[in-house]
Order: sequence, then C-alpha cells, then structure tokens
Amino acid sequence: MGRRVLFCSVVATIVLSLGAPAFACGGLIGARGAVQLLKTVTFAGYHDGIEHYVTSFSFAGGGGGKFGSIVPLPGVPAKVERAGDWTLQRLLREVAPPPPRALDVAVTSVSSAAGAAQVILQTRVGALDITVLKGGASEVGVWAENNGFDLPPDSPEVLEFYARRSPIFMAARFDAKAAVARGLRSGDGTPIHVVIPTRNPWVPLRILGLGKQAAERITADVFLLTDRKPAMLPAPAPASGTGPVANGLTLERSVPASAELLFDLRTDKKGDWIPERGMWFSYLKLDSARADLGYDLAIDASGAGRPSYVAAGFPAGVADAARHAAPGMWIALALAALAAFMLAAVRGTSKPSGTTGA
Amino acid sequence: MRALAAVALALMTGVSGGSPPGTQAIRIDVRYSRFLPAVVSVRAGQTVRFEIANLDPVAHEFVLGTPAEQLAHERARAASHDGVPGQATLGVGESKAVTWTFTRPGTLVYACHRAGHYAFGMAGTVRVLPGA
Repeated sequence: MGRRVLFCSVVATIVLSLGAPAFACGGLIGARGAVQLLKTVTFAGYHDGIEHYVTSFSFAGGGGGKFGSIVPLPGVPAKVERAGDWTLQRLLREVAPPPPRALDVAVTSVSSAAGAAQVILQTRVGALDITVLKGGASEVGVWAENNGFDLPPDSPEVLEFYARRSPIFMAARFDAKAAVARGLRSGDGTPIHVVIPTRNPWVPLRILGLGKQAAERITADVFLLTDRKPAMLPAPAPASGTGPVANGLTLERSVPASAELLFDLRTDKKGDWIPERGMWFSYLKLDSARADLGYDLAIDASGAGRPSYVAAGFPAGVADAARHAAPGMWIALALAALAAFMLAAVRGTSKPSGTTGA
Repeated sequence: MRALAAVALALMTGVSGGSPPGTQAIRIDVRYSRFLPAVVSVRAGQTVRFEIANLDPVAHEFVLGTPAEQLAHERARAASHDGVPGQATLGVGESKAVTWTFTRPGTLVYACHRAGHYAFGMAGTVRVLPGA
C-alpha cells in the first residue's frame, strides 16, 4: 500500500451551560456536575491504513461533578494513549500565526475555542476515563444511561446516524475531582491519541451539533495533512465538480506542507510516525447552522479521487445511487454538451426562415 | 408528595385505574424524542389505556398532566415515574401502559422531562371532548 498520511483536526467551540449541561454542547454530553466544557479538540491521522485520532478536552472548573463525551470512531482502536501536548496548537498556529514572541511558549493546555454494549477497551489517561464500546445505537444508549451520561434529545437520531456506519464509539469521562487532584486548572486540556486501523478514514462533523438548537452555529477548524492533495466528500466551497456540496464548509488553505510544520509535528510526543516530507496541507473552516450539518467529511488521499459516500454519512441508498449513476451522469453531460455544440454550429451556418433581418 | 400530586391531577382532570370494559386503547410510539401521534382526542368519561413504546436508544418519560403541571415537572425532575398514576419511565426499547379516565372536557399534555427533552418539543396533547 502506498504511503498515505492523513491528519485531521477538528477544533470546535463548545460551551456547556450550567443551567442545561446536557443540552448545550455538541458531541459532548454533560452529566449533572458543575464542570463546564469549553472546547473539544480532535485530531486524527491516517498512515498506511492506520488512523491516528486525537481528542483533547478542556474544562472550566471543578465542583465534584463529571462530564463526558461520546465520539464515533471508524474502527476498533488498537490502543488509546496520551497524545503529544502541542500538536493541535501547532496546527492552529499554522493557520493563525501568533505574535513572534509567542514562539517560545511551551503550551500544555488547549484554550480556544439494548442489550449491552461490548466494552472492548478501557483505560485512564490523566483524569479521563476512556471506554471504547462496540454496539448499536440502543446498546450504546443503554450503556450511556447506565453510566450517568445525560443524553440530549437529539441523541437517538445522531447515535443511529453513526451506528449505521460503525458500531465503535469512544466514551470519555472527565473526572473533575481527579482533575483537581492532579492540579489541572480551568482551561487545561488532556489530549488523547487513538490509533485505529481502518481503510476508511473520515472526520466526524455531525456529532458536533449534538444537543444544539437547529439554528445554532457550529464552528470547527479542520486540518488535513496528506501526501497527496485529498478528495473530500461532501465537497467544501469553493466546490468544483458535480457531487454534493458541504453546507458551511470552506476550504481555506490547500498547499504543500512546510518543512517547519512537519518537523514540529514529528517532534511532539507520539508524532514519530509522521513522514518527514512531501505532505499536502489543507485547512477547512466549518461554520454551519446545526440544522444544515447532516454530514461527516469523507476523505480519499489515495489519489483515486473517490471519497466514500457512506463514510460521509449519506444514506446507503444515496451512496449506491451515486456510485451507479455517476457514469451515466457524465454521459448525459457529454451528450448535452455535444447537443449544445451542434446547435451552436447550426445557428452559425443558417438563418431562421421568415425573418427579414436588420 | 407523589400521591398528593396524583390526587390533585385526578381532581382536575381524571383518574387513574385499571382497564374496565370499554377502555379505549391508544398506542403512542416514541421515536427520535417525539411522541407519535402528537395529538389524541378522547371523550370525557372515557377510560383510555395509553400503550407507550419507546423505540429510541435512550430512556424517556411519559407524564400526563396539565400544562402547568408539566412546567412543575420541568422544575423538579423525578428520577423515576413508575408507580405514579398517569406516568411512566421508559427504558431503551421498553413498552409500558398507563390507564387514565378523563372526567371532564379540556386539554392535557403528555411529555418527557428528561434534561432538555421538553424544550426540544417532546410533548403531545390530549383533547378531552364533551362526553357523547
């Protein structure tokens, strides 16, 4: 298999209201504790069939409560461990350079924006209890209920949306007491590195709208680092081609990755699998009403230019239709172009009868 | 407290009980945090057996009461409604029945008061029409 690397980072501005902790955050599920989640940071990578997925959590205070997050995964992780401390910040800096004097900081926190599920992995990273589950929407829902997660009312539809594609979910519960005991302060984050063998990488975006009102804006920064210019589905603006276009997703940057960026990412903890050169860097911005965010971002960095409709979250029927209809559509477009050309040619060589001319 | 609330509800709108002959059965499905149907009509004096099926992968509630009582439930959420007349807590995939006799015309609401669900719109209406 050719060497392929994909980095994806999603940085979402997520705020939990004290008054409605289970209702106000995207992709994150508040329990009845006093902790407010400010932001979740997610980072995933793809190299030789292995997706490297990083999620970082920040919190705003203790109070003895807990909060948690459920993250859909494209496959069963081989391991879950603490990620490097500054990879995400470095990616952010790549697209929003700070003042020069900030270059010497050693940032250790992120501060911006029915039956039974099968437990296939449990670990603790810092103050985070991580549980990887395998099961359908109902099984994961029961597990969440039994483990104190207060699921928001739109979670049934969202859980089923993901369970149709992958039965793997990662639940991360941040124990605020443990966090305080470890000396974590408001705004400190704990990055998690999930290593997932998969042939089908995707970036979960719809989960960011979980618990949001239909008109609420969902914002995220998505970073991709591949060794080829990636094809994406749905296509971000400015879109070309005839495929589905992503509402609210804009391709802000698409350039070869700088040597400095690759060096910095490689030298962070757990970054030694990142190739030294030849990467393509893409930066996408998501700013969408929750009601319009019904998709994930499927990526094909193989050069084939065929990102998966299923991985993007399109219903299987649509995926099949697109797969089978696409060649016909090209034929139809070609015939239409030929007809237009012939019509123009005819108009150019003849005059309509019954006219007198100027 | 629950008993007091149940008595108050009964005095205002109807009574809970078994399923006497002539009981009308109404099935209500819960799907994507919505009640289906969202509106039902009954006659005053009619005993209705609500057969509620939770088709969602999360737990829900069925709480019958006046609009004012629904707001009170929002302010003080109960961990479980089982055993309370006119109410039920439904686990994932569970089905339960709630029987109620509607004594006078008016409007009642059935709702779920798990965090955020009522505000999300998880409520239905019972129109109690004058008796035949």
